[in-house]
Amino acid sequence: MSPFDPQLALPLRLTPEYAAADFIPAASNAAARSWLARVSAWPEGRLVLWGASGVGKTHLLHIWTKAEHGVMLSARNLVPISPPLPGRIAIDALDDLQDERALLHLLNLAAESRSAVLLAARTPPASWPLSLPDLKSRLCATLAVVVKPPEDHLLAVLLQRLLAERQLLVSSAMQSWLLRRLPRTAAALREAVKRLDEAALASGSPVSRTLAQHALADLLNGGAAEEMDNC
Amino acid sequence: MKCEIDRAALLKALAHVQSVVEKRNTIPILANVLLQAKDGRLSLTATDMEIAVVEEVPAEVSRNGAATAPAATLYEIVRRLPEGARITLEHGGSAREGEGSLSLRSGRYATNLIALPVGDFPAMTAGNLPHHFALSAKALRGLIDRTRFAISTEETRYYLNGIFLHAAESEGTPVLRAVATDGHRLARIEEPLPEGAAGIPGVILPRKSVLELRKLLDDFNDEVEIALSETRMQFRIGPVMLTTKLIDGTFPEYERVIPRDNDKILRVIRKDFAEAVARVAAISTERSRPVKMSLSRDLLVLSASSPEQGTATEELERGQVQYDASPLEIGFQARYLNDVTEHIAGDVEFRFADGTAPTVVRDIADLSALYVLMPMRV
Amino acid sequence: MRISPFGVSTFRVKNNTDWVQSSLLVWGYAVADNRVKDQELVAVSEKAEFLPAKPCEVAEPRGWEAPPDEAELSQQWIRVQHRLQQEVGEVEYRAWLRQMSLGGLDGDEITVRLPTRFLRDWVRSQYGGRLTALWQAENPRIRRVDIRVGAAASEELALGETLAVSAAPSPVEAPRAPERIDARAEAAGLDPRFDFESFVVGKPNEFAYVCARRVAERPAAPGFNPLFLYGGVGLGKTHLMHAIAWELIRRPGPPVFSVAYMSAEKFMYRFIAAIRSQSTIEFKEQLRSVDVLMVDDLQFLIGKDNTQEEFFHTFNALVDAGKQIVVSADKSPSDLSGLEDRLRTRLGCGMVADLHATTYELRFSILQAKAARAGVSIPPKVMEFLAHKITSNVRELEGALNRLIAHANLFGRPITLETTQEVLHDILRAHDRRITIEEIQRKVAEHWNIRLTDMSSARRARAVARPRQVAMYLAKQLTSRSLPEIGRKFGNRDHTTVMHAVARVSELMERDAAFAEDVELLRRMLEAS
Repeated sequence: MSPFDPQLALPLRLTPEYAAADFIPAASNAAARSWLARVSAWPEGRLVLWGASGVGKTHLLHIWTKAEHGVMLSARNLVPISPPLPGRIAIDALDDLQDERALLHLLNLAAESRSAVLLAARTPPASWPLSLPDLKSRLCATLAVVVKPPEDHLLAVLLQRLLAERQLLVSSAMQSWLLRRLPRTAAALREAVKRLDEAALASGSPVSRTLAQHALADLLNGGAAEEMDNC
Repeated sequence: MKCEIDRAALLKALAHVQSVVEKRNTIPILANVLLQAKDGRLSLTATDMEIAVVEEVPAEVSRNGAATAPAATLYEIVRRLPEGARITLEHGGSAREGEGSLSLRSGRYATNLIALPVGDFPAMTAGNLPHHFALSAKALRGLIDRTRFAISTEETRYYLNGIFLHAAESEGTPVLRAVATDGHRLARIEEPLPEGAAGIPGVILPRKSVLELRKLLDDFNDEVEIALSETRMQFRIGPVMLTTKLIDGTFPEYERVIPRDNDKILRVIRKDFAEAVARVAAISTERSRPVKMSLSRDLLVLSASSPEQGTATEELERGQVQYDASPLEIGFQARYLNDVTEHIAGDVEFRFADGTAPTVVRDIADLSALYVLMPMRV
Repeated sequence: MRISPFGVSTFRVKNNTDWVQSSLLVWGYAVADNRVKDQELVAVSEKAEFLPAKPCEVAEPRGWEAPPDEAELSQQWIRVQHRLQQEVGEVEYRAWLRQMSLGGLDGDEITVRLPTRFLRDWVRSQYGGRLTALWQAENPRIRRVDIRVGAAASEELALGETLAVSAAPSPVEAPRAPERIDARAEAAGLDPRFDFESFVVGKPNEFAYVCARRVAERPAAPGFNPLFLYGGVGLGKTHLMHAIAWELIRRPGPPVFSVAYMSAEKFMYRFIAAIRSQSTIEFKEQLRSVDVLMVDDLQFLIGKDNTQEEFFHTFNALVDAGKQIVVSADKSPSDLSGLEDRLRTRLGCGMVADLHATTYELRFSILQAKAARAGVSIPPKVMEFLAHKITSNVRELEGALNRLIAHANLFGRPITLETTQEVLHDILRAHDRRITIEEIQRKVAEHWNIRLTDMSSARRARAVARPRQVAMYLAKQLTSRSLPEIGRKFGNRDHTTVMHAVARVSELMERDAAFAEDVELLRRMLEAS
């Protein structure tokens, strides 16, 4: 069976569990975890988590929301909310914020009602292209904690977790093969696993090197990795 | 142990249980069938540690006891004995249970089969099964037959290697649903929810268990009693009991891939369609070559081509098809079209969105079945 | 319910009457002993009462069905876990294996459960072999270990443990709790920290402060009604408004004034809600019954014509009745284009006070005051650094200080220049990054109307050379580039050329006020962009 089958696949999906047990604690996310565990220590009751795509911000937001019995909102669909506000509010993916006034209004209401607000984005607030100066200054005054990219040795664990999220079985030899060739970022691993899952489902075959070479052509760094293989 | 039994009864029971035994088994005891004679009954057990089948048949037991015997060999011997024969099974009576051999005599035929210790025969416990309900054999056959073709055989997709059974609501009516998909097509079959099944967890019944269960349902027309937990499921089909482990996986959120708004509707007479597809597809045996459906007002043109063999087309017209949406071209694997139409009794309704989106296929006369097919790029 | 490591009793039971022991398979006895005698077997089988009973029938749990060595199995499991812990070490064990729980024993197969798919897959691939070997060594009957997903460890525990790591032993609460809580004020959304005592006065905000004080002492005094406060974000408008309210509320004696404070946004939402619930009359009455009405961030009413209209009427009704109005906005009334003219006129007819951008001195005193209030000692070097670096507004300056204090409390580390740079690196970098040498060159070239290419050309005519020197000077002041780097951007000039330019411009600025003003203007334009 060729992996470049013209057969299309059903977009079967599984919502990630974001279980606390699955979060991989490491130095790269230690500061974020410490802050999340101490809401009372947040200046103004607000905290921004920022870091590159795939480093675990959404996962942390889910864990926090669950532990604190809060609600999670998405920045993209944020609309003006009327009181009373829940005591804990997490807003994910601030990079996609559409309605700045809705966020400003929410922050003001939250300050009044002493609700803690946790925000997540790819970059720190100081670099967000906000057009409302009021919102910008509030966010720039907010404690921002970085979730750093995963340490190199964690990438293997992260790969396994991304595969487990999709219930995709990939041999450990194949996993090391991928790790040697993929860019060493969380976002690249996530994208690769997504593509492998879709390609394997379309071709009705397991994840093999041939399949990976085609599905990930633009991600894999062939030359250097071949050399390492030969060593 | 010692007992006497009719060949026909023993053969039928052996046929049922021995098919569970893996042909290439690395653990010798698993190639064996466990025989237990007690108070007028002989029970036979086989397992591969994923599935266990136990069947009980009436027998004239003169000494209670147990023994094991190689399943395939025993089956072959019994099968070759003449019809109507009486068979006597006897095991040692030696101090050490299970050691030695099982003797089988019938008329002037006699054999001694090496028996492994009974104590080595693995137990497969069902554990606590908090949910139980009954379903007619016919309904269960219907759930299996119309979904099993869609079960994935790709082993690394372990969570798709079975039928997903769960309780759901279909337009306000509680139903028992069976769903299977291999990522290219999906089958969703419903039965009215049996009493007692309302709170069942969603479980994935492994492919092999589905096939074994289906064999046992062949000549059975009564109620099947079903019990399950999150990890085990048990079926009692008359004198036979099948216990199986369930797949340790999460079935995908399949409802999301069933399109609701497909508005290009084709209705076609099943027989005409199936035969035309078969004729057109005969030009190519290559799996990767689609049968193309070209639709315009009340006209369906089926076509296929193969670089080596040439081309074929067939037209289905008004009277055979009904279609009044905008023209559309879409291609499917012939096998997938066949699998679906084979299980549709009445006429067929396709609901399309466009040439690359999931397509819904239903039986116009029977809404308990729903199929989704993914097209090919044409 | 008894908690046992066996599958049989750890199933989640939804309904107690469903508690069924249907371990019915006839060979259930087989676990008992590898060498069961014939008679024993029969005896066991008699008790078992196999098939005739329905498989699902509710039956009393039978003692014989529980494996006789349940306790022994638990013991073995504890030993297996212990050995594994010794092999892999405490850290690794805690990370991956702590959440294992024992399922049941099925023939030669023992089940071990983990709470999620990922942990299952990970333990399977990393420790599956070891687990099997350890079990085999413990119990000769076991050949295989089945690692499955199953809930056992408490999720709550996992949550706490995932989040709570490496925090300092005794984190101190952030300084936010008010000393005096006034329910009325709380309901009005007043921040208890925003009073006149905590407002740090300096040249840029002195006038606004004096006006606010005056209004708080004598509301609705002629010439001070309405009080219109304006200025950029985060300079203290809201602080002054809250301070007026606090002053009136906290006045000794019985309450004389009723105060309403709200943001324009909230004014609008309340108005819309009133329209929806058909209670606009009540809304109007409520607003018109107060003695002091304060509306913050009036610019948010731009484009909301109906709300503006309502506000205008409220405004007139209150002023006519001799009540005080305090309004804030980001611009002066005349610059608030988008507001109705008649409203703008009325807004500007009382006292208009603006808050200017902060100076270094004000920023430094704000930091000193804040630190003193928080009871934290902060090295002067750090305060100088912050006052230099965070020039945008007071809110961000205070935000930076709050972050430093919170960080120091949480991690128990002293505040130094190094930790400051580390903790605030995201905002410091953004401030640094804001200005590039290219931007400076463009702005300077535009200002003196010369070509951009002249910034790197070899031309030495004064009309070109002077602006180039100014650009170099500004590059040195506003970016973190080194002298050689700056030189390279100016047509590969030597770093000594840059040094000379910086010295020359500084000297000229001291001598020539007009020139100094030019350079200052450029600097402000660049910083503002």
